[in-house]
Amino acid sequence: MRKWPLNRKTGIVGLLVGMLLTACVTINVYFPEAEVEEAAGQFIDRVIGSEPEAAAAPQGKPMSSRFDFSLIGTAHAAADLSIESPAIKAIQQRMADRFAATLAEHFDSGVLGLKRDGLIEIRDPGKVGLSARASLKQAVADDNRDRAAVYREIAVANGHPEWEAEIRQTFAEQWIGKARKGWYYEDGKGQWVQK
Amino acid sequence: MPTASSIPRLLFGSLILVMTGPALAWKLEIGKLRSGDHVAEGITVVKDIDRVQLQVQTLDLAGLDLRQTGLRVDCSLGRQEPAGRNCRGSLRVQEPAWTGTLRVHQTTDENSLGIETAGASILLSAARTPAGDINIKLRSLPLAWLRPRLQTAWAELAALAGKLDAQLRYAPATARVQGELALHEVEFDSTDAEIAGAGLQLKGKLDLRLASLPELRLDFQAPRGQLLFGPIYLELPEAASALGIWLRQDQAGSWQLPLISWNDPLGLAFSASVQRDAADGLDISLSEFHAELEQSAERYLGSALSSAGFPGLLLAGKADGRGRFIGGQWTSFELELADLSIRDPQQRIEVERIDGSLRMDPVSGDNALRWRGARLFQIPLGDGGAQWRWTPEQLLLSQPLQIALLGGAMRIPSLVRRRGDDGAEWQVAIELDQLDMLNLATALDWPKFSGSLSGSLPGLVFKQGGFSSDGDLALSVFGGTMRVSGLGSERTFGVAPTLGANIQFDNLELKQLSAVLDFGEIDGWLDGRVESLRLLDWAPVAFNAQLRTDAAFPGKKRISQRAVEGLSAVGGGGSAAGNPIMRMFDSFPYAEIGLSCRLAEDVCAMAGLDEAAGGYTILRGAGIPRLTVVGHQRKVDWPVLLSRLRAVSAGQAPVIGDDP
Repeated sequence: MRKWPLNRKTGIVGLLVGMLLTACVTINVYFPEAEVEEAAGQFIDRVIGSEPEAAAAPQGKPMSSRFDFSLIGTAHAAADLSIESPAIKAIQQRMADRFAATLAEHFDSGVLGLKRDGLIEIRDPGKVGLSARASLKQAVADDNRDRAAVYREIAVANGHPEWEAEIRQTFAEQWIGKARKGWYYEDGKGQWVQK
Repeated sequence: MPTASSIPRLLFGSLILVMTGPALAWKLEIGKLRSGDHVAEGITVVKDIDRVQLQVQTLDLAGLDLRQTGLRVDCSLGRQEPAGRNCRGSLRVQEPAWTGTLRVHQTTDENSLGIETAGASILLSAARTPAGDINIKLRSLPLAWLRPRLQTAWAELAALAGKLDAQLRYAPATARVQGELALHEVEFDSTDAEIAGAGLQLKGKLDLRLASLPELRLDFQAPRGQLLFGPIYLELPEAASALGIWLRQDQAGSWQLPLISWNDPLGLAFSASVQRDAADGLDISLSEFHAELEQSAERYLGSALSSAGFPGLLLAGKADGRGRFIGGQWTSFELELADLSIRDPQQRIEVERIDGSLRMDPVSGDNALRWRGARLFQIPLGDGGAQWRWTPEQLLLSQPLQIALLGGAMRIPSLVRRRGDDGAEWQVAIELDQLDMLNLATALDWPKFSGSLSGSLPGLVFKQGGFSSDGDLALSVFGGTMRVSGLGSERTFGVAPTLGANIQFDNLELKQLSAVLDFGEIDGWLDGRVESLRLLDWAPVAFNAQLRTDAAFPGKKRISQRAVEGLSAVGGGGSAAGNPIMRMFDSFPYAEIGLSCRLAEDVCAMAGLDEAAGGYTILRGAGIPRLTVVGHQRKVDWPVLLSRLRAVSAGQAPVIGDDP
């Protein structure tokens, strides 16, 4: 077999590298953070009910959104992206019911905390009586299952399953942003902080 | 050999001696007294005519794990009628700080010491013989006093409250304390709040051996109250359950639990030993386990099953087993099942009468199970039996498994469960042979249609609550063929389960299909595909469907008036159907029908065979009368479309030509 002289070999490799470099394609994936923030905010308001001061806070963004969580009947044709599925609405309603019946008082008393990953945790279980602690554990497990399903479904329903982590992150920030005074949340160092 | 209580006895004895001695005033100082591992330092006894003072700088009863500093007894001497003496006064201890009243008395045949503090009392009495037994009567002793001592055995004990009553007898000759005790309103909690008790009432027997390696046995009958143990929450009934605890101190001075036993007459019993492993984790040997699940499952497993997403799961039958749990996982495990039945009220899973073993063992993990009937998402599965091998690393089917399913058979040539980085992963190969679609449609409450389903999914992987698959399923339905591939699911047994698939079909008999769907009557063949189908909570949320009649249909292609209505409804109202000439005919010849829908965000983007004036052609007619159906709504709300189809199916749509 004929051997290539070294300088020639280098030249061919250089040419190939050059071709590869000029053939590189940059793919920019746009994550619609502002829209997701707004949609997450609306979702959370429907679960925990918005406080007057939170509702009055100017968002500085148009209310129409590519993520349209509105419950209006048939006018979806204009929406680009949304999570208008009965399953997600059912989860949202279930979370709102669970929040009102069980979770709210434990957020207020500091037993529950909002985590950085968009889930919730019993941070101080010793404060809760035993039978309530058992049912609270169940409620937290159920709520976290619902939360995980919502984050996943929003990503998938909008055709970008790979956005799940960012959607989760955006939701986590919104949950913390909308947390009421006195609630606990996990800061960037993993420490519980009272709002 | 000095007994463990030599020093308290000596101090008590000296009080008696001083009390009953001649009425003189004197002072005695002792630097240090030692007996075994008990030490008293800085002892001063001051005797006045009618008073006695006893001071001990440090009293350290290591065996009883009791250390008191700055102890001071101050009492007045008196006479105990009819023939005795006593000394009444106060008791103060600096560290831990507490005060109490003290009463020492002597009668002709008994010496006694009583201490009362903060509502609690301790009464020690002994016959006036050199080695007489000591009776110990404890009343309302706060359990919080025992917390530091118990923490040496269980460091995670964060809180302990409650009261202790006891009637005990201490035999110095055998260094043994025995008797009855009762614990009231016990509350305890571990640092992580995973193990806790509240409102506990425990009555039973105590046997404490104060040998060089002390041992404590407690037998409680009919405990009441609430217990939390990880995911298990119990409200103990008044039924006569029995709790046995045996604690023993080892050479290194730490406490071990050689036996804990529980016997609930309502259907659950176990005995186990608990030790600390090398990494200070728990090493649990479950030596015996028996459960009558019908009576006990809800009570013992109810909260754990709810937390796992299976609230109200009904279990019946018997389970007997044993196992070893080290370092946070079971290293071996054996459970014999008899007549076990599982029923999920949400109808996700149901299995009848399982017999056999669940044995996980590095060496002898061979298992065989038989069941008599099962249902998975309401799909009935026949009787079956499986043989597999279960080691800590993996679970592996030893022989192919065959189960009768929907009039055909399901064969599972291989099944492996492995531990992955993100939880357990099941890899299963499934072969389906001639399943009867009519049976499936009946089970799932679909419109009735016949056909068969066969296929192979050689690489089905279950993990993180969902599954994915390769391979495909072939269906012979409606006289044609259908191929389902890319079958996958997320949260299969969880909230808002999803199911995804790609479907292709060829030469489906439209006559059969339209009859099943009650959509009028169409003669012809249907070809098409539904790509990227995604069901959420069993309802479609996304797909890209394209349906078209097959030009090669050998017969006469005709469509009934009612089917035309249906197509018109789908397209947002017919543009051709309103023509009064159409009312004269029951059916129409057609050349071609085609419809596509891309469903996303609850909106169906419609298209047809081709573009027509202001819309898209759904049906192109042939011959006379020549009919054309043109759709004008390009975006149709999915729920609206479904309600239109339901209306057509129920015969509620306005009927073309039905002009009175």
